[in-house]
Formats: sequence, C-alpha cells, structure tokens
Amino acid sequence: MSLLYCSVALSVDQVKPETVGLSKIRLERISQLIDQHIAQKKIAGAVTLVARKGKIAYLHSSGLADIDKPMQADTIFRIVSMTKPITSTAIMLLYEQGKLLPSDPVAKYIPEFQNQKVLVMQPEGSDFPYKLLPVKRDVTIHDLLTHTSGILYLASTGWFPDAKREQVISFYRDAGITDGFCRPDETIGSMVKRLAKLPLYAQPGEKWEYSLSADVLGYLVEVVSGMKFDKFVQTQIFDPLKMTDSHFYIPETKLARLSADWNSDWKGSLSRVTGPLIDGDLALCPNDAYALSGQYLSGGASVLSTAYDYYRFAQMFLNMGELDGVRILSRKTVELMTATNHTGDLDATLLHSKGWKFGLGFAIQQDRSHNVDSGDAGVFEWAGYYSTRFSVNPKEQTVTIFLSQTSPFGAHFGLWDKITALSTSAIVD
Amino acid sequence: MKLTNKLIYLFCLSTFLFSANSSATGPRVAPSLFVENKNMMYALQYPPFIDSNTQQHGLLFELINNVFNSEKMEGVINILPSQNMVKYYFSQENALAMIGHDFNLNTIDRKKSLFIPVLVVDEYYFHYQPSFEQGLGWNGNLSSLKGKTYGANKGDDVSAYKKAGITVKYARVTALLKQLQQGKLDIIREPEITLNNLVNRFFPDQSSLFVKQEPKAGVMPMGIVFNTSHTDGKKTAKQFQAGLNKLITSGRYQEILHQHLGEQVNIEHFVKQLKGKY
Repeated sequence: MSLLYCSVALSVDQVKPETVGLSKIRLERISQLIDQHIAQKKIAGAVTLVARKGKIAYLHSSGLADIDKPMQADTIFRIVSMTKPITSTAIMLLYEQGKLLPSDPVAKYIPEFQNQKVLVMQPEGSDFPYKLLPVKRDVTIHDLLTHTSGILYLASTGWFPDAKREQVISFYRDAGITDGFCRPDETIGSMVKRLAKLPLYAQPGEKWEYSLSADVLGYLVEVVSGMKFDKFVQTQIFDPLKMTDSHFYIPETKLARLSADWNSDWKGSLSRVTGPLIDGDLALCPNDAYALSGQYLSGGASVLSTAYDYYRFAQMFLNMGELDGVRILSRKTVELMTATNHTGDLDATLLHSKGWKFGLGFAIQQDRSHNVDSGDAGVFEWAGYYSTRFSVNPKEQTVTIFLSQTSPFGAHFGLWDKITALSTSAIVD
Repeated sequence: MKLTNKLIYLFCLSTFLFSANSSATGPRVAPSLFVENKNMMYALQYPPFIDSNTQQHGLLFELINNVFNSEKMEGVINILPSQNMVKYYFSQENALAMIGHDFNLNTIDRKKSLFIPVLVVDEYYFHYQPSFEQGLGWNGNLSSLKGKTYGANKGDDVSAYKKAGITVKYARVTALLKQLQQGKLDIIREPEITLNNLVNRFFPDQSSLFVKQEPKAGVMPMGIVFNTSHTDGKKTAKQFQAGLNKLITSGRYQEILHQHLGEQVNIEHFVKQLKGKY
C-alpha cells in the first residue's frame, strides 16, 4: 500500500517496509544511528533513503540543512563525486548511439591527448630527478571510465604522498589545473586541453588512480555530442528519468533548498562552512554551489541533487537500464558498466580496500574474501566529498542513499559502512 | 601476384598499420614512438602572444613561424601550459629551442642558451581602482610602492621589490589578476595587451577598473632561446636572426604587428626596442 510522505514538501510514493521484505523496526536503527550522530554534533543533518524491489521503504530526514533550517527530504546536496556515475552514463549513451567506443583513444576526439608522456623518476643521485617517456599506448576512453588513465587528482598528494606524484602535481599547479571542487572560471575544454599536455603518473592501464578522468569524460561528451555537457545530461538523463532537482548550477528558485556545508571535528564541534576549505592541494569551495551560473561543468564533481533524484538514477541501473517505462541504457550496457573484470588485478582502493574493482563509473564488490562488512558480490557504489554515498545491491534489489554535507571527508567511512550494514540487515525475507 | 593486386594489398596493409584513427578494439602503439624529435621547440602558452586556442597561435608564435617559413627552416613548435615542462625539454631532451619570456634559467642552461628577442613590449603596473580610489602614487621609483603587496610569477627576480619594502606573493598570471580584483594584491606588472586580454576574458564588465600606472614599469623581451648543445642550435640561431632582420626590413614584421595590435600602434617603438640589449 502506498503512503504519502507528508512531513515534507516532496511527494514520494513510499511503501510499508514489510511489503518489500524489509523490517521497519530494523530500518529505524538507521534513524537512531544518524540521530545519535546529530545529537553528538558529528554531523548537522542527513537524508537517508532505502528502497527495495523498486519501492521506497524508508526516507528519513533529520537535523539541520542550514542554520535555522531543518533538513527536508527534498533538500538539495552537493553530491560531488557521485556526479561521476552520471558522467559515465552520458558516455555510455554515446556508445549506444554508435558515436564512440570505450576502446577508442581519447586523442581521436581531443587531439591534445596525442603523444602524451609518462613521468618516470630517476634513481637517487641522478643528474635530474625524472624523465618524461612516451606512453606505450594512447589513453583510451575505457582508461578514463575505470580511472586507469594515469591522470591524477591534485588532492591525491595528501592521500598518498610520494615523490613522483608530487612531481606530476607540480606540473598541474604550474599549468593552473584544479580538481574542479571549486568551480574554476573557465570552460571544461580549456582545462582538459591543458591537462592533456601534462605528464601522466603511470602508463595508461597500469595503475588505478582516482582522478580528473571524469572531467575529461565530461568534455569528451561535449566534443562527441556537439552539446554543452550540462545540456546533454539534462536532456538525455535528467529529463527522461524525471530527476527534476538535479542541476549543474542551481536555479534561483531552489536556492533555499540547498544545504549548507558543515565542518566537523567529529568530536562535537560543528560549524557552518563560510569560505573555501584549503588543505594542501585539496581545495573545496562548498559555497560555489550557490552560484546560479558559471562556465565550468565538472564531470567529476559539479552536480547538485536530492536523495529522491539519485534514487531514480540508481534504480534505473537496478532495473538494468530503464525506469518507469523509459529506457536509458540497454541491459548489456549496464552489465558492461557493472562488470568486475575491467581492471584486471587493479583494485579500487580509495573508498574501499582490496576486493573492490572499478567498473565503468562505480566501485563494485568483487568477492567476500577481503575485509567487507555487508552486501554481496556485485554491489556497486560510490561517494561524494561532502559525505554522500549510494550503494546498489542487484542481488537483493536494494538501493541505499545517504546524503549529508559535512567536511572533512575521511571521518565518515565508518558511518557510511554502518548505514549500508543496517540497510542490508533490514532485509527479512 | 599481379602488380595491381600487389598495390591493393600494400594499400590495405598500410591503411591497417598506419591508420591514426583506428577504432577497432585492440592494442595500439602511440605515434609518439615514431616521431623524430630532432627539431622540436617548446613554447609556453601566454595569450595573446602564444595561444594554442587561436588560429594563428598568437602574435609571437606567428612572428617566429614566419621567420621559419620564409627561411625554409625545419622545426615543430609545441605549445605547453607549463613553463617547467618547457624548460625540461630544453635542458633534458635537448630541444632545439624554447619560446616565451622570463625563462629564469639555471647557470647550466644559461650557458647553453642563445636568446634572440623577437618582440619587446612595455610593461606597466596595474591596480584595481575600487581598492585604491586615489591611485597608487607610483612615480617610477619602487620606493613609492612601499608597504604594498605585489603579485609576481614564480621564479621572477623580486629582490628589488623586497628591498623597497614591498610584500611579494606568487601565482600564475590569471590567478594574479583575480587576486588583484579580490583585493588580495595591490599591484601586478604585465604588458598592457596581456592584461586587456585577461580582463576581457574574466572581468569583461570591469575593464575600466584595472588601472594602468604611468610611467611604464619596464619592458618584457619575448623571443626564442636556441640550444647551443643541439646539433643545429647555433646554425639555426644564426639563420633565424638573419631571417628576423629580413622580416623587419621587408615590412612583414610590421604587418603582423598591425594585424594583432591594431593599426594605431607605433611600430617604430617596437622595432627600436628590439634593438636593445636583453
């Protein structure tokens, strides 16, 4: 039986959890966990959604979206890196239209990617610290989709410091490359063309490195489709999926629904972020999300969305490419995107540890022989820098979405893992 | 096999082996492995003088390209976004030359470099009018800017600024402009056409707020640095200098400047400055 979720403006068809094999009491444990974190001032607020068998069974919003503004189910969030699966979907739409192949060299569409070089450190005591060697093969679209292109994020100097990375990033800085978390005052094409001329960190296909690859994909969409990236995504993904609250730049009428970002020391000190957050090479500008327009359309970070909208996107994948009778992708393309054998022995170890592989846009749980807390082989998911995460379990037909806006990023892994564990353990059929 | 068949076979084979845009799935070998880098030159992107986003690739690029073409000299210019990469190819890959300005070379690289100025432009200090409504008080002497904050490019020699009691902050040129507009910097120093180019790009509706200070701050010599360690370095440099002289005497140099800077510019001023020592 459908109920109207009436505590908020958003009208969402929500079912009793038991009708889809979920326990209401067990789902309430998620509310308790989140409310506890809010009471302890670890986070300001959150929206959490659990759906099963194509029905939303749990939608919980609590805490604050902004000072004196309660969190609502339709609060809009900076989903940052959860933009990446949307960008990958845009690429796969072009693939299905016969306009590109994942195996194509990127240089076929963006000539600046020709004749790329890879930075190789020289032995200690050498006259010069590094050499730039030719790539063994061109970077392909597949490399970009799987983050094996050899491109980096500047912020990675903080995650995995090493001399070679530092050297590559020094070229990024010199060329004015940014991670796109602050919205640069230039077009995506202008940045990508500069990036293409800088040395790679590793030979294409030889290392998994979470990176600006999705930003390159965003520009590739523009080049191949002839449309601006945001317009392509709007007309080919957001409109058909009725993701009416998903935007690259927020419309003025929805400004009041945008959540603030909060700085948390995870010990009870919580403050609203008022300016840029700079930590070494990591530069975050949460307040850029209030901009009504701009040039930069990051395929890795720009989208603003709601729990309900992102549920619709995730449910489309769970339905093998269609939602509400509208087909976005074919079953075979979804299978291709969620396959675990794209990167060989390379693990996607940023969000998870070993045992997770990267498909064409998400991390996918490959097995249970590693340190995993919940879910099944085949679960695919990704997260965003201001503490957002989604997880899709094809075997159990579940979608779990958690959206908060809290910095810094690193403290949230435990909370996210517990939420997915609790949503999984709410399955009772 | 008949000759026609052989030719068809060879054509098909060559198409298969050398197709740059092959889209079939399979391993690919990058063309860069087969490119001979004998006469490679590297230039730093610096609009509007060197600009990979425009058809003629900028004023300086066009002047140099004209000399190479008219003298039938061989060379490939690769425009890069990073000065450090330009310098790497010069010092470590024995590139024929590098193109740009303010190279800030180390002693070893300086010894093997032969600089030929191609264009010398006036540089001015600029301030953002809302930050200094009464002006900066610049009188041609750095001491008049004491206590101000100056935005410099990394690697610039800023000792004179520090000696004059001026605080120095470093950034890329676009970041310098933005910091000037945000009030984080008091002054920057650029050629007027560089500043106008940037202001038109980033602050088109505020062009009157970026105020040029007279007298000029100095000059920026731009040009080509030949690598004397390169087999053809000295020979090409000599040939280039002769070609540049011919370009000026033929009037083509002046024509190109007019095309890029407008008919109103005083070309003789540029030609005169080019004869200086840099």
